[in-house]
Amino acid sequence: MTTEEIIKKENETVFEQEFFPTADALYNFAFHLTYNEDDAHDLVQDTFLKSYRFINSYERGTNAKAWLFKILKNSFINEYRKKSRTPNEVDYEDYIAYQDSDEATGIGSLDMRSNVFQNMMGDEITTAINSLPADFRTVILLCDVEDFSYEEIAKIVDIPIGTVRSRLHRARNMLKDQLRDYAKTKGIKEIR
Amino acid sequence: MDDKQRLLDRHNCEQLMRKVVLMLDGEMSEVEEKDFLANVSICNHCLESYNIEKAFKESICNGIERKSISPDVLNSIREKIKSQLGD
Repeated sequence: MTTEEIIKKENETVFEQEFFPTADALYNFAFHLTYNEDDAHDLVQDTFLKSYRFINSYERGTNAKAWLFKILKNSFINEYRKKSRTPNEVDYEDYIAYQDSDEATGIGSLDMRSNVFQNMMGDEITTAINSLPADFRTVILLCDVEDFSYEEIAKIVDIPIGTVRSRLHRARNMLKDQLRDYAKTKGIKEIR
Repeated sequence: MDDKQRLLDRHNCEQLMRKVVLMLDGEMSEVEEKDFLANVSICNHCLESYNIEKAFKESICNGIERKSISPDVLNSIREKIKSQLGD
């Protein structure tokens, strides 16, 4: 076997054993970023083609999922989002400041009980998440849906860990507001 | 002085509530988790707040619609990668 054939075989193994098993997670992330199946498929395809191009910078056996999520996130920001950006899509991070006092209370000022969340339907949860601005939706998807650590999220999104925490805090409060409103309209009672 | 009394003496709801998300997001060490759970269990207010946050996180994780990639699309991507690997 020539050196080229050995490298080709090794790369095939990396794709089959480490990269392709993350396809569903990548697609799920892409779908919730774009809300569109075709765009999500394009993003995933683009991610895998880029991963082939940059495969020499990937260290085999390390965190393939985080590495691929970072490529997908960058494609979304640099290509997809630029093309589709509409005037009302604002980067909220530009003006939302981190509020220590909010974080200190854990649940903020929201008047919720655990049974309220337990009675939520999946559709409402999905709608609430999809309505978040992209920067906030991204951290929720990475943390609560894909179970990445703060450190991994910081690397994927390319922001400091403190910003990961502040975005998560803000995003969760936005979600709670929406779900609380939904619970009220549906008459889901809070137990006191 | 028993263990519970010792925990109560140094219990601080505000400090503990700062740690709830770290606990639920898996950002604590094993020792920190054990200490957190011991502390949260002795205060009804903290326990209730913790349970609300836990239910909220679980509702996000379990409630969101999970999408899977179409097998045809994945096969098409696989073929494209294979042809590039063969270049």
